[in-house]
Amino acid sequence: MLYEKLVIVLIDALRVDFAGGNQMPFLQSRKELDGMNSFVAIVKPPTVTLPRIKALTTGSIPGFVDVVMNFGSSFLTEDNVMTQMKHHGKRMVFYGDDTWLNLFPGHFVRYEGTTSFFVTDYTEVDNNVTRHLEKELSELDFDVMVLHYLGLDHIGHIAGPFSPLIGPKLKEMDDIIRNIYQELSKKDVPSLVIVCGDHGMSDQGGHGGATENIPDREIEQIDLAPTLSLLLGTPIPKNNLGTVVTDVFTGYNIQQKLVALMVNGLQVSEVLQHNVADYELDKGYQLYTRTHKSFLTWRNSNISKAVSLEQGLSLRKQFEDSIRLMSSKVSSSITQYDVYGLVVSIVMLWLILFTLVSMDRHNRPEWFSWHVFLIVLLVGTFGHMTVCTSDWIHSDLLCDSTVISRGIQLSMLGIFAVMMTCVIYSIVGGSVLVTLFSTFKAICRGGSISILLKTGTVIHTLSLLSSSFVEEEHQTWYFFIVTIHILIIKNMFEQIFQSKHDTNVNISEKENSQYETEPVKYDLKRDSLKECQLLNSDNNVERDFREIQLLHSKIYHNKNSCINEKQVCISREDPIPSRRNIAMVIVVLCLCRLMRSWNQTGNKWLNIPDIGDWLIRPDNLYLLSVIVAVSILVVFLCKMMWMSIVQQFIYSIGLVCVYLHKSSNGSLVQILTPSDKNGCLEAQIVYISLLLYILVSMWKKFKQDKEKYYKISCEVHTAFILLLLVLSRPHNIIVVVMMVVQDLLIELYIWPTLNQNSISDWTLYFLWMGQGTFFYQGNSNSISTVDVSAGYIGLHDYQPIIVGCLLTVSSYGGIIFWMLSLLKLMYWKNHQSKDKDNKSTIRRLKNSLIECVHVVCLFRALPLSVYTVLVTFMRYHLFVWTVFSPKLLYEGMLTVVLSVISFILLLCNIIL
Amino acid sequence: MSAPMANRLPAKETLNSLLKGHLIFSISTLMLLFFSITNENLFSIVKYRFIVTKLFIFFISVFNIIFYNFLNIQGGISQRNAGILSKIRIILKNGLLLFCSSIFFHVIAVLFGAPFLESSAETFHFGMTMSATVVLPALCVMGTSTGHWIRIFAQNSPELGAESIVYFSAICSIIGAWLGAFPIPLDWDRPWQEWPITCVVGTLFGYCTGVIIGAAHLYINYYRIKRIKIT
Ligand SMILES: [Zn+2]
Ligand SMILES: [Zn+2]
Repeated sequence: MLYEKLVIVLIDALRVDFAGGNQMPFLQSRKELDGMNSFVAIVKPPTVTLPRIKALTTGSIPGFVDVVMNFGSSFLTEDNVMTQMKHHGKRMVFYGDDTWLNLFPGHFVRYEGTTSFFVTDYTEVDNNVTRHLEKELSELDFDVMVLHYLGLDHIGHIAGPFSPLIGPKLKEMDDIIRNIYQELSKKDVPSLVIVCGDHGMSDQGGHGGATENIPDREIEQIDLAPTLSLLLGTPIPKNNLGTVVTDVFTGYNIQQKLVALMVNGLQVSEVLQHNVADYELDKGYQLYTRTHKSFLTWRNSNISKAVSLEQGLSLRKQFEDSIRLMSSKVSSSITQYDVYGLVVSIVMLWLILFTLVSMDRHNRPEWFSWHVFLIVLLVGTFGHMTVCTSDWIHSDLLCDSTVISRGIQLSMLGIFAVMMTCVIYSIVGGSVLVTLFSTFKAICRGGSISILLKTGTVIHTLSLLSSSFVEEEHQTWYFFIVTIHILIIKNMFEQIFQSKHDTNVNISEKENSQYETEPVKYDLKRDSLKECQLLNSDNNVERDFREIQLLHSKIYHNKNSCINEKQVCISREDPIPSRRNIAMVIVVLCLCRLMRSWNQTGNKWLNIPDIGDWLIRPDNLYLLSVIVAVSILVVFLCKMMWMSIVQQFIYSIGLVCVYLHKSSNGSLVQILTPSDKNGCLEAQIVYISLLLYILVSMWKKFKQDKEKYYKISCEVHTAFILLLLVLSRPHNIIVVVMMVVQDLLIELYIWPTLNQNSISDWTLYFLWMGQGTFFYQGNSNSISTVDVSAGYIGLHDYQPIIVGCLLTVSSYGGIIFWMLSLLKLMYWKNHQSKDKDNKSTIRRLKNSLIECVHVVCLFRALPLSVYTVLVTFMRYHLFVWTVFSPKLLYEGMLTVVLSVISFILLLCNIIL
Repeated sequence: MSAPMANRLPAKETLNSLLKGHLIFSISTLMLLFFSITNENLFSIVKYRFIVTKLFIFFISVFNIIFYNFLNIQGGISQRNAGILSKIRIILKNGLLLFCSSIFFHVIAVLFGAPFLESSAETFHFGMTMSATVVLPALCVMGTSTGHWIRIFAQNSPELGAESIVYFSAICSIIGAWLGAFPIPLDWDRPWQEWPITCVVGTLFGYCTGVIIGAAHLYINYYRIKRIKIT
C-alpha cells in the first residue's frame, strides 16, 4: 500500500519532551492508539536548520561547512527525497522557512516562504503558514505538503524552553496537527502525516548539541529519508546512509519489509563501494551479502509459517545491523582529516609566532644568509616530495598537481624557508634568549598596567585550552576589562598623591640639598635596592649611607616614576589626573557592567534574564522606542561639536533613518509609515548618507593643516558609528551608544593621564575592549548567536559578498570600532606633541603604527598557534562540533578582520 | 629629612612580637582554612558558607584588634590615654568605616560581575571578608589618619614594621580574591564553585600568605638595615 497524500509538519526545535508531554494532548492521545508511531530521532551535530533539512531529505550526514552555508543557502545538488518526488510527478506544496525554497527551487507548485531572520517574531511566522491550511486541506490536490513552523525555535532563542510562551505555542501546533489529521481522515485516501522537529532546543534556548538521554525507540534522523522514499514508492536518495524504519510499514507483511530493507542495503552498499577502497573486507558489507543470499533462499523455500516468520525477523535484524555497520563505516571514512595539511599549517603558525616574538626592530643583527636558505629550501622540498609520494599520508590540498596548487606549494615553501632561516639564525646566534630576556625585562619595567595587559593576554590564550573557558570566554574578557580599569584608577590615585607630595617636599629638598642623590624610585615591588646603580660610590661607608637613605627616601621624596633604564627621571609634562578623571573611569566601569547584563551569553548563565530580553518584550515597546531615540540623540550630541553644518545635516538624516529602519518591522514605535516591511529604503539612505558624510569630510579636511590625518580618522570613526547603529538590533543600539560614550571618556579623561604607556599597551587595551564588546553585543562562541538578519539590511535579495561584509561588520563591529579609536588616538598623540619638526613627528607616527600592527599580529598569532594544536589533538573529541570547531571558525574570522585592519594600518604608514 | 632615622626602625622586642604573633596567627588560620575546605560537615565553608565566613572574619578581626591595641606594639596607634567618650567615638567611627568599606568591596564585586540584585547576601559576605582582611588591619595599625593611608596605599611606601605587614597582607588578599574568581566559570558543577566561596577562600588564603610574606620581608630587611647601620 503506497500512501497518496503526505503531510510533513516540521516544527523547528521540537524537543522530545515537548512532543511527548502533556502540552500536546492530541499527539499524546494518538500515541496510545494504533496507526501512529513515535520515535526519538538522534541528531548528529551541527544542529542548525539547514544541515538538518539536508539530513532529513538526503539521508546523508552533513559536514560542518554546511553551518556556514546555512546563511546563504543555495540549491541542493545532492540526490534527495524532494527531487525524487518531483521527478515522479508528485505535486508538492510548501509553507514555512524559506530555506526549503532555496534548497529546492522549482520543486513546489504552490509555496510561501517566511524568513527566519526576524527572530523576535514568533506569531506571524506561524500564522503565515497556517492561513494556507484551510484552502489546501479542502481542495486536497497536492501529493506532498511540507509545513515548516519556526515560531517554537524563535521562542527558544528569545526566552528558552521554560518560558510561559512555550505552552500556548505547543497547543497551537497540536491543534494544527489535529486539524490536519481530522481533515485527512474524512477523505478516503491513504495518507501519512509526519510530525518532526529538525533539532532540539537546549535548556539555554540554543539548538542543543551532544546531550545524553535514553529514549525507548530511537532512530537516526537520517532514517527518515529512505523510509519516506519507500513509503511513497520513489527511489532512495543516492547518498543516503539511513536505515528504513520498517515499523511504520503498517499493512505490509514481513517479506515486503525485507524487500524494502534489501533495497535499502543495496543502495547503502553502493555508497560504501564509492567511498571505501577495500569495501569487500568491511564487516557490514560481508554481513549484508550473507543476509542477502539467505534472504533469497528463505523467499524461495517452502517452510511452515511460524518458522518462516521467525527466520524473517532474524533476517530483518541482520539487514538492519549490516546497513548500520556500512553506514558508520562510510561516515567515519568521510570525516578523514588532512593530517599533512594540519601539520604544515600549525608549523607555519608557530614559525610566524616565533618570528613575531623574536623580532626586534631596533636592534637587528645579521639574520639571513642564502646558504642556509637554500639548504632549508632543499630539505623542505625533499620532505614535501616524500610525504606526497608516500601512501600512508596524503593531502588533497597540498599534493595536488594543478597550477594553482603548485603555486600555493611553492610560495609556502618559500615562506617556510625564509622563516626557518630566521629561526635557525636566532637559535644559533643565541639572540633568542637575549630577545626574550629583554622583552621580559621590558614587560616588567612597564608598570602594573602594562604587566596586566601582557599577562592577561597570555592567560586568555591559556584559558582556551579548557572547553568551558571557551564557552565562557566573555567572562575572561569582562573580568580583565574591569581589572584594567581598576588598575587605571589606582594608577591615577598614585599620580595624584605623588604630585601633591612633590609640592610639599620641594621646599625641604632645597634645604637639604647636600643629601641629594640621583633621584631614584623606591618601590617595594621591584626591590630597587639592587637595581639602582649607585654612581660615585667609592667607599663603603658612603655607599651604606646612601643605601639607608635610599631605603628611607621613599618617605620623603617618592616623587618620580622612572621608566627608562638609566634611572634618569624626566619631569612629567602630562597633565596630572584629577578627581574628575577618576570619576570618569568609574563611569566607564559602570557602563561596562551595564553592557554585561545587556545580553547574557555563553553557556552556563545563558538563561539568566537580561535587560535586552526584557526590553524587546512587546509590552515594553514604548520604553524601548524612547530609549533608542534618546540614545541616537546622545550619539548626535557627542559628535556634533566636531562637525560642520553640512556634516551635521547629513549625519542627522542618517540617524533619523536608523530609527525609521528599526521601526519598520514593528519592533519600535513607528513615526512614519515604512517603505516596506524590511525597511530597505531607510537602510539604503543610511548607507548613502554615510558615504556622503565621508566624502564631505575628506573634501573639507584634505585642504587643511598637518592635523588632517587625525581629523580624517575621527570622521571615519564617526561614520562607522552610523554603520554600526544601522546593523545592530534595536536593543543593541543602546550598547553601541554606550561604546561611543566610553570612547569619548577614554579619549578625554583616560588617554591624556596615562600618556606614558606605550603604544603596544594601548593597542592591547583597545583589543581587549574590542573583544569585550564582541560579547557585550550578545555574540558568543556558538554559531547560533550570529545575527543573520544583519547581513540583509538594506538588501532586497541575496548578494553573497555584501551579505558577508555586513555580517562581518555586525559581528566584529566592536573590535573595528575600537581599532579606529586607537588609530584616532595615535594620530592625536603625535599631533599633540610639542615637536616643531614635522619630520620627526611623522617618523614617530610611523614607528607607532608599526608597533601597533606588530602587537595586533602577535595578539592573533598567539591564540591561533596554541588553539590549532589543541583542536588537532581534540579532533575526535565529543565537543569538536559544538565547542572547538565553532571557536576555530570565530578565531579564523577575527584573524581575517584584524589582518584587514593591520593591512589598512600599514597602508596608512605608507601614505604618510 | 628632618626625622631621625633610628625612630623608623621598630625596636627589637616589637619586631619579635610582631613576627611571632603574625606567624602563629597566619599558620593557624591557614590550617583552619584547610580544615574548612576539606571537611564536609562540621566546619565546611561550602555547606555553612555564611556562618563559616563570619567566623573567619571574627577570628581575623579579634586577632588584629587585640594584637595591636592591647599588646604593647609600637607603630600601632593606641588610644589608651584617651577618655571614655572619645574612645566610643573612635570605635563608632571605625565601625562606620568598616561598614562603608564592605559596601565599597560589594560594589567592586558587582562591577566585576557579581549578580546585581540576587544573592546580595553572598556578595556582602565577600565584601565583609575583604574589608576584614584589607581595611581592618590597616585601621588597627594606622587609625583613621589619611596621611598614613595615602603614604601606604597610594605611594606604596609603608614603614618597615607593622605597616609593611599590613601592606603585604592587603595586597595579597586582593590578589587572592582576584585569582579566586577563576574557577567559577568551569563546567564542573561542584557546589564550591558557587559565588562567593572561591573568592572568599582566595581572599583568606591570600591574606595568610600575605602576612607570612610581610613577616619574612620584615625579618630580612630589618637585619639588612641593622647591619648597614652598624658599619
Ligand atoms: Zn531549526
Ligand atoms: Zn534556531
